[in-house]
Amino acid sequence: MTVSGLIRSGSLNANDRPLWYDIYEAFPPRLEPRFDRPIKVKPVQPIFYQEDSVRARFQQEYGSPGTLQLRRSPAARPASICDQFVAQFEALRGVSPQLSEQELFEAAADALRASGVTLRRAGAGPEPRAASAEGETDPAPAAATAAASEKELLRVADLFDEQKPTEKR
Amino acid sequence: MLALLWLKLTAMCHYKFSTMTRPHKLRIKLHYNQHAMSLYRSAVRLLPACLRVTSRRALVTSSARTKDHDLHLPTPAGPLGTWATLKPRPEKYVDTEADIDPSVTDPLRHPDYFGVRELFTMSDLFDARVHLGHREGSLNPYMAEFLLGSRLGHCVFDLERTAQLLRDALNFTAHIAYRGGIIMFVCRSPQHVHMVERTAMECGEFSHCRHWPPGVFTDSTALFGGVTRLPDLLVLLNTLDTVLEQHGAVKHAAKMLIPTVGVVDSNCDPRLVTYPVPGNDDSTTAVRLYCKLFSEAIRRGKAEREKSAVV
Repeated sequence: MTVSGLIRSGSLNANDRPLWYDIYEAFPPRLEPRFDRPIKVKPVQPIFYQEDSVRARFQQEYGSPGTLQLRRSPAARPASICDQFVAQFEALRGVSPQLSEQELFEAAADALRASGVTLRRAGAGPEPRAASAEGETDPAPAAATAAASEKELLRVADLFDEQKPTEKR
Repeated sequence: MLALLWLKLTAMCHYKFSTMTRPHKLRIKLHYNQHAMSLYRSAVRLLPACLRVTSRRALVTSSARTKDHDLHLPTPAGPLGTWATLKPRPEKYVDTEADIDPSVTDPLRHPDYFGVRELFTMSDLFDARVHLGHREGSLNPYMAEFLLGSRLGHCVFDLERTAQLLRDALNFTAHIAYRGGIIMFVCRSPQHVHMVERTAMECGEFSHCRHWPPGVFTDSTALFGGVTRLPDLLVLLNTLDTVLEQHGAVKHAAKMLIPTVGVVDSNCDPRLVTYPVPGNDDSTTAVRLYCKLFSEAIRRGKAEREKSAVV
C-alpha cells in the first residue's frame, strides 16, 4: 500500500516501481503482513486418539520398554513395543469384542510375550518373568534380554545420518 | 518500551495512510512500516531502469483450449485477509480462458507458471518433520491459527495450510528469480549455516547467515561505503536470531519494502513476514527440504528467464 500510495500521489514514477510490485499484485499473500493484524483467537486443541487410553495403561503398567526409533519416516521405522501392543489389543478386540478391557489388556500382553517381547512391570527391577519362571537363573533372563535388545541396537554412526549431505543436489 | 513506541508509530502511520486511499476500489495492501519512504525513494532512483520492470508477453487466449479454472481458486474477499476469508486475485490477473500450457500464457496470469505444486507432497513435508513445533508454553499467539493442535504439549502444524502457504512462497520466489531479482537467504541456526550458504551459492544467489549488524539495509550506504543494491527477496529459514529475539532482517526488510519469505516456527512472530510458511525450522531434515525446494524454484525461474531471453 505504501508503494501504491506513492505511485498514485506521483512521488514514485510507475516505471520505477519495485521488481516485486507486479508479482505481489498478481499473487497477494493470503494473510496481510500487518503488524496490527488482530489475533485470530483459535484455542489450541489437544490431539488425542482412541488408542491413547490403551497406550496410557500400557505405559503405566510396563513403562516404556525398548528403544524408540524416531529418525526416519513412520513407514520406514519399526513399530515400537507400545504400538505393537496397541495393534495386538485392537486385533483381539476385533476378534472377540465381548471381552472386557482388562481381559483384552492381559490377552494382548500375553500375545506380545509369546512373540518374544520382554514385558516387565514398570519400576519392578530385574526379576524372572512369570511366563518363563521355570527355574531360570539370573544370567539366563539377562542373556535373553541382551539378545532381544541386540535387534534394536543403535549405532552411534546412525545418529549422524541426517547430517550427511544427500546425493541428489 | 521502545518496541511499544515502534508499534504505536506503525499503527499510527497505517491509519494515517488508510484515510488517503479511495474506499471502494480494490486496494493493494502493502502494509509495511511507513517511515522509511524517503530512504526507499533514494534507493529506487539509483536502481538502473532496466532492472525495474520486465516486459510482459502478449496474452493468447482461445476458447478451444482447455481452461485453467480448475487451477485458479477464486475465493471470497474479506476485511483483513484472515484465514477464513482469503483475498481474491485481482481481476486483471484472472483469466479462466487461459491455456494450461505455460508457453502461451503470461507468467503472472498463470496461477502456477513454474509448477511449484509438483515440487513437494504433503508426505514429503511429514517425513521431513515440518509439522513439529515447539511446546505450547513458547507458542506465539499469532501462530495459533496455523496449528492442528498440540500432542501432549507439543505443537503440531496443520500441513494442509503449510502446504498452501509454501506453494505461495515458492511461486513468489520463482517469479522474482524469473525477473532477475536478487534473493538472499538468511539462516541463524549454526548447524545449518553451511548447508544454506552452499545452497545459495549453487543457485547463484546470496546469503547472510552470520550476525546481522543493525544497518545492513537501513544504512547500507554507510556500512558498505557506497550505494548498494538491496535484495529483492529475503528467504528466511530462521526468523529468530536467538531463542528470544526476532531477527533484525524481518523488521528491516519491512522498513525497506523488501518482501520476505520466511519459515515461521511456533515461537516466531509471523506478522511482518510477507509470505510466512509455518513449519519446523530446527530439524535438519526440514531445513534440507526447504533449501531443496527454494533452490529448485529459483532454478526454474532462472531457466525460464534464460529461455525467454534467448527467444
